[in-house]
Amino acid sequence: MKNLLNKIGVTFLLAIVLFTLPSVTNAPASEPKEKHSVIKLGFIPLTDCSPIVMAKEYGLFKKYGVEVEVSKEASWANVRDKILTGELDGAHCLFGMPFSVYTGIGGKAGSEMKIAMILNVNGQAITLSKDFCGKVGFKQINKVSPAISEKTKSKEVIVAATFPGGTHDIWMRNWLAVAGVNQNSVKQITIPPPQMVANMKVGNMDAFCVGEPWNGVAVKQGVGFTQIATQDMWKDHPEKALVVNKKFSEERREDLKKVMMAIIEACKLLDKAGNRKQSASIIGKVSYVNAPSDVIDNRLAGIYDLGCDQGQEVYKDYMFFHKNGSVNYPRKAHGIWFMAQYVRFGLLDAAPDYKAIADKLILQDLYKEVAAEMKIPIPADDMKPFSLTFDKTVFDPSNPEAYLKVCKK
Amino acid sequence: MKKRFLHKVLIILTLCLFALEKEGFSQLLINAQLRTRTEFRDGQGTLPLPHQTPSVFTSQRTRLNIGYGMEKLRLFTSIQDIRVWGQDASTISNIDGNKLFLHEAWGEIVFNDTTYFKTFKNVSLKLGRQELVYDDERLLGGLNWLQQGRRHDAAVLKFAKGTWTADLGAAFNQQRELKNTGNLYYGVPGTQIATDSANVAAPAGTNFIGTMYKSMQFLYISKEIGFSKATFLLFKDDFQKPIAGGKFTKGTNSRVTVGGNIFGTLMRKHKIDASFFYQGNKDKLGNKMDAYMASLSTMFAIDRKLSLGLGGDYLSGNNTTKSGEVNHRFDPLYGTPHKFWGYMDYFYVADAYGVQGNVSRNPGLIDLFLKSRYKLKDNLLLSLDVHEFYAGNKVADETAPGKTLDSRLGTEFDFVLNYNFTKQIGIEAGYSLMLGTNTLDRLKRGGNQGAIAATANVPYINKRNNGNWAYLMITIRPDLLGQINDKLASLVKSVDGLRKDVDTLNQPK
Repeated sequence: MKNLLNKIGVTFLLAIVLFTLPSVTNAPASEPKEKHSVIKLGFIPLTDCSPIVMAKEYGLFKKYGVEVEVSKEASWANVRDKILTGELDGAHCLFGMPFSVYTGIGGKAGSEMKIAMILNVNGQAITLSKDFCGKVGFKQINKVSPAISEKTKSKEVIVAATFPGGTHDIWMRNWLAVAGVNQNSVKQITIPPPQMVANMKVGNMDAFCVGEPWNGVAVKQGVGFTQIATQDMWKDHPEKALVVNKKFSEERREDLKKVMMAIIEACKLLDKAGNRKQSASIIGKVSYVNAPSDVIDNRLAGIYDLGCDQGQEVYKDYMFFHKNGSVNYPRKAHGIWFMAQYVRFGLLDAAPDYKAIADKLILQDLYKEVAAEMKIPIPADDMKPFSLTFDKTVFDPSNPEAYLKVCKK
Repeated sequence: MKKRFLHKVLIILTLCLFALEKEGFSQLLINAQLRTRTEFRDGQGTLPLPHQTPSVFTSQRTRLNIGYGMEKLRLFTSIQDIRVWGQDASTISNIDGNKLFLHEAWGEIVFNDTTYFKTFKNVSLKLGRQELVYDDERLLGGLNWLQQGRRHDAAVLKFAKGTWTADLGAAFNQQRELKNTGNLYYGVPGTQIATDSANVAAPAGTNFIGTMYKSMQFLYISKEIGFSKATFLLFKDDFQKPIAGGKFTKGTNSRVTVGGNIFGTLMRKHKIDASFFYQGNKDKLGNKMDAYMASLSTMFAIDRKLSLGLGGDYLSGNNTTKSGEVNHRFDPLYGTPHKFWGYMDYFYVADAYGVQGNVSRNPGLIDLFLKSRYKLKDNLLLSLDVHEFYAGNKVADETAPGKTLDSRLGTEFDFVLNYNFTKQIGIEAGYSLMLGTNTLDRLKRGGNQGAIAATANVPYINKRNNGNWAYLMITIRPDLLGQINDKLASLVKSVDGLRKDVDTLNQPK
């Protein structure tokens, strides 16, 4: 009898737990729906998840006739695994991740994650711990190497990014290279974005590269200061992408197009300055980014309190989501640039088949169809040579080898 | 094994309940404010007489704010207590005035859920005692500087669509619950506490001083254009018609104010603001009104720490050498004058300003200013403002009939240091100096002194030509619920951890 009561009790309690937990940890639970019809999109708590979150909040997925659930994920590795297994149909994802995974740096080589469109440009930064206050100032790239060398005398310098071969990893490596810091003289670790500030607070790292609002939060909490924003490194660099499961992209192509249309419409709305304050208050909620909305709002508007008594920098080039389509178009040249960086920094021993991989992973034709239906212009700059803002070495996507011979490592 | 499992589940359930409560708490806001301000006054608001000695006192505002939001409703209450240290008659007396009162108490009914994209981003009706705060608070503001603050008993219908917002507001004031008839409104208060001594009759006034409006209606529209904003305001306040003997009669005199602002941004870093408002119809006494206000101000970010701004305000006034039935004195409505025309509050606040202190013989104001802000540290801001004041119209010299006085009123320097000791504790220290002219002296002769001089031909006593004022303000604003939420957030993390443990226990070995 006692056992029976225990069993009933356990069953009852488990039922309650199952019903209550989703509402605590994630976005509001949906009603039971036909499995096939609901599209599940993941996101990481970062300001640039806004296109997906706001498309949901604005009711745009419904408007385009698709039922979408958004799911808050704990780490980029989690996102990768869930996209590959199909647990997520797609996600807000680092632009570099599909290339990193396919080439075997950040996952099982040959695993295909498809890039449907870009969600945003700019809006990431490198934060240094307050130990560097007064030793390195905002954008004082020439002072980085001496400061790190000085610090290395007392302890190993640890720098963090969010995923091997992801955008933040590559921004951090570029920053070190341009500053003249030997990549091997510092320890490079991987930390999920929302955990960056807490880890820096307890001294687990000296520098990190991550998306907003976490650089802004580090300043607000007095943990660190913004040394450089990624738009200072490469104006209008590709950052997050809508990355989807391969099978989903093939079997539900029309639904994916509707999802992209909804997200593009959200991107358009987000680019209007007047909508950003409202977006900041929504995505700042516990169920999304869970960060102070004033920090999100300021950095979304390009207003950067730098920390360490450096005042405020106001950007004209800050996080953009659409820019008449120039943001959203996924460029193969950028994919090739990322893979060239893997070779440059020794993450890959040999050059991959750049063009073939970019062709395989970037759904450029799909994007063009969506853009045509929405009458959004397609930029004509893909596969043309370009250089970064803080490193003028020219990169020709048709000839990465030439670039690799001359770039700083 | 089962016991252990059950134990885990029970813990999870308990924590889940906490977490669910947190979801509920996240809709709840509880915070408080305790603000003390110690002031040294030796010419604040008006120039001091030679024999007057400076005063020092500490005033305190204590507020408790409680808000709650749900799907179609938001509620907010702010209870405040204002008093000067030592002001209470005694610990058991009740004759020290009604200082504990509701600063705000409103409910907002939301007709559209703001989180969904519908025709309107927001449609709501805000009812009850509330602050009316719009734009830079020049004409409608919370007057936060004043310990009492400013509030209205009103209903406001709010619309928002895209980058447009529109508010439609109305108020109708009544003295008390009336039995069956009568709508005469005498306003509250009829008197105010004078700076130095006894209660005095409130100037037939402005800015909520003296008789309050009987009713008002307003329409406010704003449009955000990039990082700039354009706004429009139409405000009508109706005052009970006065008759002799301080009494009122049926009917109202309506004053209409209309105009707008442009808050512009240049190259993301620089601000240029322009305002123009016209005031017409009738003043509260029934005189015809024809007044206006224009303002242009700039603020340029020189670098990441220093901002400098120049600007000028013009508020029309009366030609005090003539008597006329048209009132040209622009009244800045129910805003926050402290923010604009010098921190020493010489203009458009409590102390009278006008020939013989008569506000209806007020020559208006020209204020040319230079503002600077320097961020010494992340939590330390230094500001220095310089104002050069002129009368906006001719000032009669009453000692020499037919002649006028020089229009220059004086120069004011405002120096303020703002320090955020912590997120919840702010310290502000300020020092202001007014270098006044003879004209300012004449225009600030309010109350008995002006009346005696004018009627009994008693020579004026010249005031000192400078005034000093210093203050130290400490603001403590704890977020009471925030701390509870932080604790609950860590409990939510524990739930996740325990859930993983249970998953592990449940896995087949």
